Amino acid sequence: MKLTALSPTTLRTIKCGSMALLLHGYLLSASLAETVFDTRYQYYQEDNGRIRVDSDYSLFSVDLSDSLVLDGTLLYSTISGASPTGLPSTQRGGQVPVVEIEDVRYAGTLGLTGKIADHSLRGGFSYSNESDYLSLGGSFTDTISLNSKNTELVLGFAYTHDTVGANGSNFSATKQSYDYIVGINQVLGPQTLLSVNLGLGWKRGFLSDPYKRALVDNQVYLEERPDHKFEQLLYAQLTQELIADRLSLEVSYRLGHNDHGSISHTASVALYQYLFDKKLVLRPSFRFYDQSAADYYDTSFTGNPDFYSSDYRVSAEQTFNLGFQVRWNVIKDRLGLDLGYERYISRGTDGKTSQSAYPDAHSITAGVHLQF
Amino acid sequence: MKTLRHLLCLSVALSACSCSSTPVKPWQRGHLADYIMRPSRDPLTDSISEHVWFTREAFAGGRGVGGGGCGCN
Repeated sequence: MKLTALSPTTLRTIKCGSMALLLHGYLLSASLAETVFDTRYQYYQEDNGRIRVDSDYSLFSVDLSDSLVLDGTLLYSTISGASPTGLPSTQRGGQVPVVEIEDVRYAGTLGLTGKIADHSLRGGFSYSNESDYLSLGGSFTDTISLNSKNTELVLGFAYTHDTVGANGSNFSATKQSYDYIVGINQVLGPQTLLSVNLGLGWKRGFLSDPYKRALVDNQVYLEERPDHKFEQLLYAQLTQELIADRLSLEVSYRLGHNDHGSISHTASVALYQYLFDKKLVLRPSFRFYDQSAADYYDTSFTGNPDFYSSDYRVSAEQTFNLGFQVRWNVIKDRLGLDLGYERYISRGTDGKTSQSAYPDAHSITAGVHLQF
Repeated sequence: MKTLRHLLCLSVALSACSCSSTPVKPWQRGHLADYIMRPSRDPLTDSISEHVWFTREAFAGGRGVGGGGCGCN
């Protein structure tokens, strides 16, 4: 069911109103230690007329007192363009069949963080609505400061309940996600930070894509994936200052595994460079991602398989992300402007899925950062 | 489960290495609060990039919990 209560104009009015309230609230109350407001527009376009997404992201964070912080985000996205059906190309190396889609997404999060002794406790709520998808979630994180504040132990849990529909039909199904995280943030030296996280995720319910098709014995069927998934992620990130007050390097690696038979490796590197007495921050970045295929992935099937999917996103693929971002600190610690560009390149690595299933993409972002 | 055990061992080993370092004094931590050193310096950029990758790849996340779901993947 399409959400019509919030038109783009209304949403813009809410955003402007929220910003005005934040500014007004700040002027009225001297007790607020810090207020942050960020807004960002993103233009995302896949090559060859595939998916285009226009998004407005907003974020706020308000220190309600010395030990209480309220934060939240708002998102409005329009999605349009062509998406693969999952069926293979009719000729070898040809274009995979696609279907035109159009949707609007509204999403938001709200969180409250309280500091008690060495604990920083955050409770959060998330909401996302599309014409065929509703997601509601809650999360709780405890960040414990140890070792004279040189170490942080992070313990987190999130529960998400999603309702999946399919436009043009009465189809409706649900899925539940349970995510846990245990992490350590460690100061290794005056110029070095290390973070290590172990994440465990369980999903159960309808985990297929209601729009994706697959060929079984040359007959077209809706894809069928297992109704449960267990996933493990190990994430490590090192931040190193290379030149004091001028240049830092951030590298990260993530290892992923799930019981659908996939393993992934993700490596990324980013540099942060100050210029002109910290007026400008340049951020060139590179990310590499590699995943193996799910057990039930193929371009076509024979016999009577229990599970089958031809969705290229569970195939063996590699992606490369090149990014460049500039932040201009117009007024130090008060006003900043952001401009960013990213090029996303993806390739199938199984030698049988048509490369036309993997579109490259451009992403341009522009935004404003306010802080008081 | 074998992979999970490996992941657990690796994360415990990495954590043990990190905790064994000499504590840094508060007055030595000034640089770590700077924008270019803070891991949480720009949550919106992180969120936007993570969402693009979430829509195109089989794995997502690893840095935290609580982002919520989406019909994009």
